[in-house]
Amino acid sequence: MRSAYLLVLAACGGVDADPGLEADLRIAGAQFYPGAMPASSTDIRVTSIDSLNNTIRAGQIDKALSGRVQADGRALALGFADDAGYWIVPAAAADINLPDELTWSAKLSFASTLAVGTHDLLVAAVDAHGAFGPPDPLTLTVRAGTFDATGTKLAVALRWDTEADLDLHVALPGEPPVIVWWGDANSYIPPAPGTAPDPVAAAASGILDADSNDQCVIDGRRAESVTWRGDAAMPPHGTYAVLVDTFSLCSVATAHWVVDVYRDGDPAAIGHAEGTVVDSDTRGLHVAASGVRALTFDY
Amino acid sequence: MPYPRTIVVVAALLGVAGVATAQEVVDPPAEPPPPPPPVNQAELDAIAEANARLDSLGAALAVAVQREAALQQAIDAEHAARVAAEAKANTPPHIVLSGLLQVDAATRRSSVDQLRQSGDLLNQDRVWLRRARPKVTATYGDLAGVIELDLNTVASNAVRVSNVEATYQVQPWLRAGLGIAKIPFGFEVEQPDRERLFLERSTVIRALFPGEYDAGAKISGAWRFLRYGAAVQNGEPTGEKTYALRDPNRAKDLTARVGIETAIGDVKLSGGFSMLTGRGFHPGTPASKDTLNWKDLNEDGVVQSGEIQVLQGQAATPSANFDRFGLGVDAQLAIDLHAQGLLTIYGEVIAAGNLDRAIVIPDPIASGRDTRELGYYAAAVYLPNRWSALGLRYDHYDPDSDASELRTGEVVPADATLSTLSVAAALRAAHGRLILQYDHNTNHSGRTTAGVPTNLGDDAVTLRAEIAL
Repeated sequence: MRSAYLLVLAACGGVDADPGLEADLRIAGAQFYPGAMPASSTDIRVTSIDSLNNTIRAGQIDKALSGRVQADGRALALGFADDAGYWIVPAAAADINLPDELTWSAKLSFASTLAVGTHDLLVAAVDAHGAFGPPDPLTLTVRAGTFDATGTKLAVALRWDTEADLDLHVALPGEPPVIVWWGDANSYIPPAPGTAPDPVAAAASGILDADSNDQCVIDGRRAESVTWRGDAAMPPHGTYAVLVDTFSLCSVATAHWVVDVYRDGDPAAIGHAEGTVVDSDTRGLHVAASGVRALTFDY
Repeated sequence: MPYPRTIVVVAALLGVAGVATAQEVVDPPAEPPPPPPPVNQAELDAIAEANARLDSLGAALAVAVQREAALQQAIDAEHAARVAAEAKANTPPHIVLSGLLQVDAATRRSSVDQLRQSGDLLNQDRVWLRRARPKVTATYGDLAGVIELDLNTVASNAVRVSNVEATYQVQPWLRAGLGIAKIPFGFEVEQPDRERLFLERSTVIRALFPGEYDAGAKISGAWRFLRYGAAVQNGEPTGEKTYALRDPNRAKDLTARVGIETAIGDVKLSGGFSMLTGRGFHPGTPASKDTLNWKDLNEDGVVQSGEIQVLQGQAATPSANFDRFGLGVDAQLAIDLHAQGLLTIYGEVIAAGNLDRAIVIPDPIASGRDTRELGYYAAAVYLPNRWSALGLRYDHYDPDSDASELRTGEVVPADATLSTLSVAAALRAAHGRLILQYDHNTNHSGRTTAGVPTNLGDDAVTLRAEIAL
């Protein structure tokens, strides 16, 4: 029935308002066209594709991609070969150094469900008549979404499934315990005034890698970790406590979190815990050692 | 009550004349008439003069009687007015409860089962309460008060003030009021929802006068064929996005409409000119602190020293006001086709500057240029009989006549217009309607594969059930 309605309404022309959220690739401000990219019917080419890093992660947002297109190009079509559709980005101004070519740029985001492995991003030029040129592939490698413990002596990794602001707190052995969290992202304790700093101590400390979805500014990572990485790393021995603090659910109802603990770079976790947080978990002061205790382990 | 001197004098003269006449009647007629006395010219002249004076006094008496009658009539009228006023003052207030209920079911081409980044729903295939407006009207002699609430589920489960107004009938041709009243501009703004066949007002009206009501003082009235209305209001109507029914600046919007309404045979003709002048508000910004910003330059997801930037705090910036205006002309023509029904044709054209308060909100302080808006609509409504109605309307709105965009590096004019062709059909009853409307919406929000702006499909079909209480 709905299809019949849409058929009638679509008969009056215009492009679809589909935001393209079903696609693995999304481009802010661009027009989404469902279906496969049309076959090339002209020779117009994309002359350059500039990417800072061809390794991406599922859920990444705002990856910068830019380049140039021949002067007859008016737009760029971008999309994965096997995706739900492709995107149209208008060409921009002429290149300063190559005035017979036009520049283009786009901010790419990727679905959280994007499969690990390599994906060919097809980039094709489109001329003023809407004719597509031959697509040029840019191979992007999607790295594993799970934590990579390689090179670490001790690692505590937190990940969760919705765009909430959760925070990892790790309480180190000792009295009083040193807490590594977003308010103190390093277990390194500065020396007292007048005392020379230990050049090894900083490298020996554990570091929080990021504060994901900080203040509900969604970054798509939904993961944080505290790691002691490198030969100089010296995690203290004793009992560790891992806490998950729900700073904000950022308008989502719940978040399911998973904590894993890795030792000596072994991909098999030595500790594992899961849980679900709801709105009531956002209460509290959100200071060091706040949140629910996920697990404790000995190192 | 003493008689006027003129009446006494005239009465005396008449009395003398009457006695003289009676004496002539009682004279004995037996003797032959004496020979006519010699004509005394002096006496004749005296008699003629007396007759002339008599005529003059008679005329004066008639005028005096007429004046007395007029005076008595005025006294009677004043007495009757006083009695009526006392009766009105002692009459209890006349209270009327009324209301309007509109429930819509719609399907829209742009609807998708997704959320915006802001969390707003993109699905528009739904049933919702468009308007539920309980209304209490109290009339107390020349005083009247209105309280009307608006309940709807358009964006959320909302209850808000719609129309709250206290008015005084100063003269038969002048009513003054204070409160939240309709903005006196054009035709569609003041057209009651229960009388409009089309589901919503045209785009230009919804953009420039969102919500139609604003808080302030208003006068309105009619004299013979003239119609007028004027208001001094806050300038933030009920549908305004940020400051609805509040006022961020002391400047008030002055709005006025002057028009005519007359009938020529089977044709009723009405129309008018409208104007608005006021001041909009550009909000300042509070002072900000220094912040650290991470920009993942190499896109590896790891914080590195070169990727940390310091964003220095900024001092507060002041708020500022800007001028805005609107000019409009409207016309309506209703033709009574007798057995064939009633045909109404109407339209309106509005030119404005910095006045959009709902769709493309201008800020000339931030953008550095004024925004010119232009919109119009034309509609025809045909009522073939008591139980049905048909309507056709085309509306067009350009929220920024000077819009431009960069295309392949060059600044080119951009078309930001929104237009809608609406076709409506209704089944009518005494207190309700069932309306089906198709809207063909045209915009320039999509892009062709060549990157050129094109229409983003947004056609809609809506079914409305309406009850007027």
